[in-house]
Amino acid sequence: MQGLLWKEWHEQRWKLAFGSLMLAAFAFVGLRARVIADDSLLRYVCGIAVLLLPLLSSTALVAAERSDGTLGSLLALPVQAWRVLVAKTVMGVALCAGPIVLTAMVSFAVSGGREMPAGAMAGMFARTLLAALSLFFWMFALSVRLPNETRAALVAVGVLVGWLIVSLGLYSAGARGTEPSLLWVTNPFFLFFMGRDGQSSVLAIAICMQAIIALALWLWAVRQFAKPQEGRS
Amino acid sequence: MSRTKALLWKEWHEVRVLLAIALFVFVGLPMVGAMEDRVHRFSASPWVFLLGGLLGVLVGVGTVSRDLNGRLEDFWRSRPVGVARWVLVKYFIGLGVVLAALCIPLVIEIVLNQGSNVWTNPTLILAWNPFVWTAGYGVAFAAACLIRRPAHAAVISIAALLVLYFLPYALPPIQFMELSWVMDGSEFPRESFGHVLSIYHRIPWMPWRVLYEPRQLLFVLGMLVVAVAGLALALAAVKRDWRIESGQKLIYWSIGGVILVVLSTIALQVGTNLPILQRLDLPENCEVESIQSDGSHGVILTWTDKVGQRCQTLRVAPTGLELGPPLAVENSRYMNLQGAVSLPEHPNILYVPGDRPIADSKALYPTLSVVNLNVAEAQTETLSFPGDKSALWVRKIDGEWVETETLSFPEDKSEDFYLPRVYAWNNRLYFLGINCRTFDLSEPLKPRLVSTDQITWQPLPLRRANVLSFLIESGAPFETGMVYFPDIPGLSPRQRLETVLGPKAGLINERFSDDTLTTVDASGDRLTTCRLELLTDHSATFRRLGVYTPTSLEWFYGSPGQEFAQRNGLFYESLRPSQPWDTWDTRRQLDGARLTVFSVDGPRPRPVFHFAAPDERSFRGLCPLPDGRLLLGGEHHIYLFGPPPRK
Repeated sequence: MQGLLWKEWHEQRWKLAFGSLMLAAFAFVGLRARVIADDSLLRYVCGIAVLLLPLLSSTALVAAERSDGTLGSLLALPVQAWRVLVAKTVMGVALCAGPIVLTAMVSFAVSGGREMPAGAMAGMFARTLLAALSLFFWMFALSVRLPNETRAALVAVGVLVGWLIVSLGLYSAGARGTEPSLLWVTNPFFLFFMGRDGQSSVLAIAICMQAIIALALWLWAVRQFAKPQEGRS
Repeated sequence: MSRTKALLWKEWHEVRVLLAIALFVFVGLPMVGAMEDRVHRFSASPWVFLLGGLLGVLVGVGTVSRDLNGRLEDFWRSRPVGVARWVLVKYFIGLGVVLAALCIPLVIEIVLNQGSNVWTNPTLILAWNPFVWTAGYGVAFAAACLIRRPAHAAVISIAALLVLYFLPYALPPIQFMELSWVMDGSEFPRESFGHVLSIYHRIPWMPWRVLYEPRQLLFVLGMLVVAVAGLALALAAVKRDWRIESGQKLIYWSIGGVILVVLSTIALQVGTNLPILQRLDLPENCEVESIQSDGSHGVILTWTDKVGQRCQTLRVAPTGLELGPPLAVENSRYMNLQGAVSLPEHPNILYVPGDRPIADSKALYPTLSVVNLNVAEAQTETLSFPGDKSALWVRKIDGEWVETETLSFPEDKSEDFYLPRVYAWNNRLYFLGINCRTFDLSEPLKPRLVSTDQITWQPLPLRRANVLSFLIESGAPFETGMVYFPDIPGLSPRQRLETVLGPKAGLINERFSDDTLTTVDASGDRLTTCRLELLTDHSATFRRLGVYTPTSLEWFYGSPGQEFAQRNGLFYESLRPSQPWDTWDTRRQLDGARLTVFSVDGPRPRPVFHFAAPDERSFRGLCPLPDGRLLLGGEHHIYLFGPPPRK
C-alpha cells in the first residue's frame, strides 16, 4: 500500500503544487490588494476551487493510466485492485483538499478577523472542501472506466454542468437552504451555495447524505475498476 | 533561380493565404462596417490593436510547424540548403506577412479618416505596436521550433505574449517595455509654457508627425532584443535539433504563470498602496461629511441620525490626530458648513456662508454665520442680508423640493442659482453673493462691515464659474480655455481666481492648485488637466495638458468619482459607492469604498496610489495636508495616511 501511495505521490505531486500555488496566490493577491470585500473575494476563490479542483484531480488518476497503457501493469502487481483504487482515491482527496487547506491558511494569515470573523471564514473553506470532495467522488466514479483523460474530462464537465443546472433549477423554483428537498441535500453545490444560509441540522443531514452517496459511488467505482475492459483481449 | 529565391518563393506560396485571411479580417470587415456606418468611418485600429499580437503568434507558429514535423523535416535536412538560410527566410517572410497585414489597415484608416478617430490614434499604434508584434512573432517562432507541436506552441506563445504585455506593469525595472507608457509619451509630450520640450523629435520611421523622446527608444530596443533572441533561439534549436517535450505539465504551468503575472498586475494597478498612519473609530451611526484642515488645526463635520450635523475640532500633531468633543451647531441646516473658512490664528472660529428663506416667501437670502467652536456648546451668531435675494432658486427646504417664483429684483438678476461663498485673508473676510461685503475681523467674533460693493460675475454665472468645464464636458477639442473672475477690491488677481476655483468655491468636478486645474467629466471616469498659462486682471487662460482615461482593469474594478481634492501635484478621487440602481453594471457590483490618487504635475494625469477599504461604504471628507499627509473620512473610521512613498 505504501508503495502505491508513493507512486501516486510521485506522479501527481506537481498537480498538488500547481493547484495549491495558484489558488493560494489568487487569494493572497486579492486579499492584499483589498479591491473588494474579503467575503466577496473568498467566495470567488472558493468558487474556483469547487469548479476546478475536482476536475483536475479526478481526470488524471485512472483515465491517464489507461491511455498510457500502464494500468494493466499496475493491476498485474500482486495487490488487490481495490487497494490500487484506495491509493488513487487518497491522492485525489489530497489534490482537492491540499490547495483548499493551504489557501485557508494563507487567507487567515493575510486577513484573519479583519472583516470576516474567523469562524465564518473557516466555515466557508470547510463547506468548499466538502463540496469539492463530493464532486470529486461523482467525477471519479463516473470516469473510472474511460479510456483517456479527454473523455474523463468531458464526463467530469458533464457532472459539473449537470449539478449546476439542477442547482439553478431548484434555486429558481424557490427552494432555499432552510426548507431543502431531497434533491437539494444530495446536491454537492448545496454545501457551497446554500450551506451558509441553512440551519446547522439541515447542513448535517446534507453532509451525511453526501458522505453515503460518496461511499456508494466509490464502491461502485471499485467494482467497475476491477472489471476487465470490454473489447480487449 | 538561386536557392534563396526558391526558398522565398516556397515560403511566400505557403504563407500568403494567412496574409489574405488577415487582410480580409483587418481591412475587409472594417470596410463593410464603414459602408454601414452613418459617417462612413473606417475603423480597423481597435481590431489591429487587440488582435495584432495574436496574428503574430499564429503566423509564427504556422510558418514553422508544418516543415518541422516528422518526415518533412528529414526531407529538408537532406537538401543541400543551409539550416540558417532556411530558418532566416521563414522568419523574415512570416514577419513581413504579420507587419503587412497589420500596418496596411492602419495606413488606410489614417488616410481615409483624416484624424477623426474615436478610438486610440492609429498613427500611435503604427508608430509603436509593430515592435510588440515583432517581439511576439519572434517568441512564437522560437516556441514552435522548440516545441514542434502547433497547439502547445501556440498556447505557450500566447502565454509569453501576455507576459510581454503585463510584466512591465508589475516590474518597475522593465517599465520602459510598457506599451501604454510609450504610446502616452508620444500622445502627451511634455511642455513648457505651451511649447513642446526640445528633447522631443519626430519619429523617423513614420511619414506622419509622431513625437518621441530618447527614453522611448528603450522600448524599441527591448522589443527588438526579444525578437532577435527568439530568432537566435530558433536557429540554435533547428540546427542542434533541440526539442522541448511539451505536455500537460508545461501547459498548466505556463498558463498558471501568466495568470499569476496578470493577477499581480491587477494588484499593482488597483490594489492598496497608501500607508495608513492612524485610524480612529467613529461612533455607531456617525458618518463623516467633510474634513477641513490647514495642516495643524481643522474641523470635522459629521452626521448622526439622532443629533444631525455636528462639528469636532481637530489638531493634527506630528504623532497623529487629536479630536475635540463633538458639538452640535444651532440652525446648521441653513449653513453651508463645508464652505466655511477661518483665520490661521483663530482656527476654531468659523465663518460660514448660508441662506435662509424669507418668511411667507419661497425666496432665499444669503447669511453669514460666525461659529465659535472654542466653548463647550458652539455659539453661533448669524448676520443676514435679505436684500440679496436671488431669482430662480431651486433648493430643498424642510424636506420638500420647491421651486420659487421669479421675484422682481432687477438689480440682483441672475441667470443661474448660486451659493454664497466666503474668502478670508489678512484680517479681512470677503462675503461674496450678488454683492461683495467686506468685513474687518480684528475682533474675530464680531465681524465689522467695512464696505459693500457691487460685483460683476458676468459673462459667466457664479456656480459654474469657468468655461473650461463646458468645453471639457462637451468633449470638443480645445487647446486653451478662459476662466473669468470678479473684480473684488483689495484682492489680487490670483486671490480672485481662487474665489471661483478654490476649495471653497463650491465647484463639483473641478479642483485647482499649484497652477493646475483638474476636471472630471460628467460620467466621473475621465480626467483632464489644464495648466494656468496667463493671468490678467479679470481672466485666467488655461492650456489643456493631458487626459486620463481608465484602463480596462481600472474600469472594471473602479467606479465613477464621488469626491475630489487636489494638493501638492496630486489629485485625490474617492470612488462612488454602489447604489441599488447600479446593479446592472458589473463594475459597481464590487463593494467597498476606494480612493485613487493621480499625479497631475506631469504632462498627463497618471494614477500613482490607491486605497481600498471594503468595510467602508463610502469615503467623504478628503483633506490633503500641506506636508503630504492625507485625512480621509469613512463611514466607520477617520484615516490619516502618511505622505505617498514615492511620486
